[in-house]
Amino acid sequence: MTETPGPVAAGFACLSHRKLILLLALTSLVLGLSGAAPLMPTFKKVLSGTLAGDHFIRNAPTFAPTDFFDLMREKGPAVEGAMRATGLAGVLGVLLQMLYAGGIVVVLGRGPFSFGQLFEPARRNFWHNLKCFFFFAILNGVALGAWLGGGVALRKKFFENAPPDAPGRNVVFWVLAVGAVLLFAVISLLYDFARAARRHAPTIGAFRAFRFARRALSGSWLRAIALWIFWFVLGGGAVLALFAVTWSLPAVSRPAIALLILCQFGVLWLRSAVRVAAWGSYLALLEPRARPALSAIARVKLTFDRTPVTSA
Amino acid sequence: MKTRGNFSARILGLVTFLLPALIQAAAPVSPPVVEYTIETSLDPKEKTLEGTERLVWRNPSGDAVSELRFHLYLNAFKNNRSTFMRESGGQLRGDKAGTKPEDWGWIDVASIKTSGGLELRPGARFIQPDGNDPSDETVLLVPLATPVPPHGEIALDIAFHVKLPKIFARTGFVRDYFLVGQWYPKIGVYEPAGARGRKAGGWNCHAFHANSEFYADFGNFDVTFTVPSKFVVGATGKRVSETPKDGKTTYRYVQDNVHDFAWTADPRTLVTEFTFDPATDVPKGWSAKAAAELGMTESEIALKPVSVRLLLQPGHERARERYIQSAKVGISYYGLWYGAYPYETLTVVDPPDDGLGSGGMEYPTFITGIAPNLILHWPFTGLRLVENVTIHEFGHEYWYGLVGSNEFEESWLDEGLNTDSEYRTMALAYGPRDMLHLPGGLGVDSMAIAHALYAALPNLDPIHRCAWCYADGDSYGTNSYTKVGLFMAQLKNDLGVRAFSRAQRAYFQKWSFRHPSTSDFFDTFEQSTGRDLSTYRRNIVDGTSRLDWRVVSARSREADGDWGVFTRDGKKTTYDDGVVVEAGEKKKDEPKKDKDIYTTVVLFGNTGEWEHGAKARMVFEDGTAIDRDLPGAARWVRYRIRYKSRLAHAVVDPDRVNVWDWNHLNDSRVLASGKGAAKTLGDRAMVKYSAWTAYLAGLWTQVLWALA
Repeated sequence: MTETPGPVAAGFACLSHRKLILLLALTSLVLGLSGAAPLMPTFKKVLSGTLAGDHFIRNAPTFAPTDFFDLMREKGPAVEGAMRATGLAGVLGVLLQMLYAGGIVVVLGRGPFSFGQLFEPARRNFWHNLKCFFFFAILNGVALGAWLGGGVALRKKFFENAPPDAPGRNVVFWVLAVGAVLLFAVISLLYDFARAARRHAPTIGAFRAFRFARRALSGSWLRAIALWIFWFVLGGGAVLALFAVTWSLPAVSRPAIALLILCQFGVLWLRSAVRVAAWGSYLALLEPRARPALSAIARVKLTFDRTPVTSA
Repeated sequence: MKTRGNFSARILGLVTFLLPALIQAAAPVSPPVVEYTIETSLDPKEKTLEGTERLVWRNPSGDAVSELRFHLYLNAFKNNRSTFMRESGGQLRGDKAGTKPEDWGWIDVASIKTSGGLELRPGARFIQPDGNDPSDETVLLVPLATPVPPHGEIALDIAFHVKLPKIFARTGFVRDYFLVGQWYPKIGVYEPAGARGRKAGGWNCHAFHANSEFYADFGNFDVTFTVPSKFVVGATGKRVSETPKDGKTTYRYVQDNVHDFAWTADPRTLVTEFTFDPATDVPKGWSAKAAAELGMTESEIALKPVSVRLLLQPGHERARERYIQSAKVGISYYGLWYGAYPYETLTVVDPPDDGLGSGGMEYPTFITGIAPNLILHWPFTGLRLVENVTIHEFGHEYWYGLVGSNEFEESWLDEGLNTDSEYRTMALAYGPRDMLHLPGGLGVDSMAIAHALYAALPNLDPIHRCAWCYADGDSYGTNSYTKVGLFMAQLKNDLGVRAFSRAQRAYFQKWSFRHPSTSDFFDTFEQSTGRDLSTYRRNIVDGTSRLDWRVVSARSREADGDWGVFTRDGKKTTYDDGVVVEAGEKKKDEPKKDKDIYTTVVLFGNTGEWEHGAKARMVFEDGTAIDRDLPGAARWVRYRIRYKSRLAHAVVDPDRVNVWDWNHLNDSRVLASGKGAAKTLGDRAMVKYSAWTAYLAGLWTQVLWALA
């Protein structure tokens, strides 16, 4: 008898898909470079062509911050260009993730796979994922908007004359914040499971996929949310910890700069790994629930005998 | 820099430079121009005050004064047609005026009687001395039946009623927290002929403007106020009595030689009292440093104890120690460098988060800080806002409180000089990242922020303008505060720290308890330093001149060998790139020029309007540095140097002495062909920060994965 690993173990097991993780990390790197590209000529001219680079890397008091502010002002168009390019890279990143997700939900947890096996369902499921995203966005807008908007309005009404440190204010703030995170978690899980529906029903539509997700998660919400929080906290914590390492590296010498860049790529890799592991977990959770959920939402097909009735 | 040719002025300058200790603090005018005795009571439910005021005003001039003028500042919040509200649009200092019926505030003067019982109120009328807001009621003109004779006096009994506004622009209430400032009928300043450059005596009593603060004569205050006993109070001056009766308590505060009085009441305030003890609270080494700069002994600049009362909001306990330490730092720095704080008390009020509009304000011996709960927690703990605001507001005890400049007309003399003092206090107390320090050793200092604000400004106004005459609020703020900080730092760098510190102390000592003007500032500094500072006044304070020295171009290449026909030793010789050749002969071998000689050409230019010198430095690859002084009158200077090494980099003003320089990014040029240290690190910086930018952009795309 083969023991089925739990969702968390299944998630960690997915870390063996190194090429997939690398693909996600490299995608982030390329998008990051695209976002930074408009600033590169400016950096070449200012950091390498004047003493500003010297002040920056030495972290010279007064000189470095003054040069930084002057750079932001004098090279404003380049900075703005980089910010816009980064914004566009973000949009592109979201679209690429939707594309990858279409393949990931099909191939992950089913043994080794080639990029061809990943990209074929990715391409096929892209529009499905895009439609799911719109449901996801609408659900978030409505649910979070109502929760936060209503909550803030009520808080203002009930605490208008309360001092800023009144305990009630803090309690309501945390209730609102935690509630918002949980709402987002619920909608995210629905979204992920709706996309994962294509693992078991390759032609399922977006609307029905959400119904499938709701059915699949029914009775397992606490477990699913716990899983979501687990990866959110673990992944977020690990990424933040490594980010803190990169932030604290002074990196003046060439080897130190090389190490810094390595660590920076490590952060991008780590976030990618957490992403893959989380998918692996969700798919493992879904696996035993998929078939009943599909059955529950199956259309009742009625067939009619359209042969004209003739009298004998 | 030119030195003044006037011999006597130079001698005077020398004397004051060498003997700063001779400059004694100006004594308060005695008897004072004004004496206020005020009694008032607070109705916390209605947010009102009922008050009576006994005012004795002494005519400081040789004129017979036939009318009096009063500031009724609270009428600025009476409606949206006041000058203040029209100019501010109901928004100021990040705060917004309330618009509910109970949010408006005003002051009604019911009666003004002379000591002879003559009622003057019916003849009084509102005037608009600065403009055309007919609804503005912030200045009340009171005609007198009998003029106040030259150097004579008049006593008035005034009855008034106040409705406090919802906190906006420094004063008012929120819930049951009250910050009561500019709350009583306050007489304007009658300036005699000669005062602040006046040709004839007259009232200086402006309307309350959005971008202006206050101006008043020094005097004595005796104020009694009654509040419910559950309220904790604080006020200008020293508490001399506290009388509880029928659930209310009457407090009496007195203070001589100040020009305003403010108080606060709040039942929730946490009180911390401590004494500033010079023996233990002056930071180590400060006294010796100040004495050395000022040319005085430490005993000559010794400080006095001060009783400090901190009124802290519940929930702001994390700010307690920060308030205490920064108050001590402020008392130490200003006291040592300018003169000991002359009052016995200081009250520091910490406003609540929903009353921050009353924060960051100064009144004599009474200041308000800013410590919103959010910034007291990670990740904002590296922001020294509590320290910065406390030191700045305490500094106003000197630059406005003691040196009583006209904040309406010359805001730079109080806000600006105080900003300069604040910058130096912050730098000395908290080091090179005084405003913000982040993990990883990053951070920002006050001077860098000041330069950024200055450089970002459209440069529409000079520093010296009336406070409401600036193009907009940003221009007022930058010109009155940060630009002055830069100007004073420039002056300090040019004069040297000792001459500068002595001049500033001389200015403070000479003009304490007086009303100096811009001319008085420059006169004192010129007398103290023996220098002609007119270029600073003309270009920086009264003008909008910029300074922008830059490296326009820099190149370095192998020096050419001789080429052509030269007459040497009486004989014509033909050279081809350093090689002697016969006429018609082609060069056979490689040129034999001296490859170790390079020609370097560097062009420095000043594209700003201000003619001011700078130092130029040219650093070669072999480490040799050549320094040259660029004369102030030059628009550009070109250096052509033949030297055995290539130029690594050229920089103008390498030590950033010219803080007035508009753009520091063009101050240097690193040659692409160079191999000097600067070039090497510049390349590394380019790689490092390009990687950082790509990294942050990549992380941003990953954050968005939450959507994908």
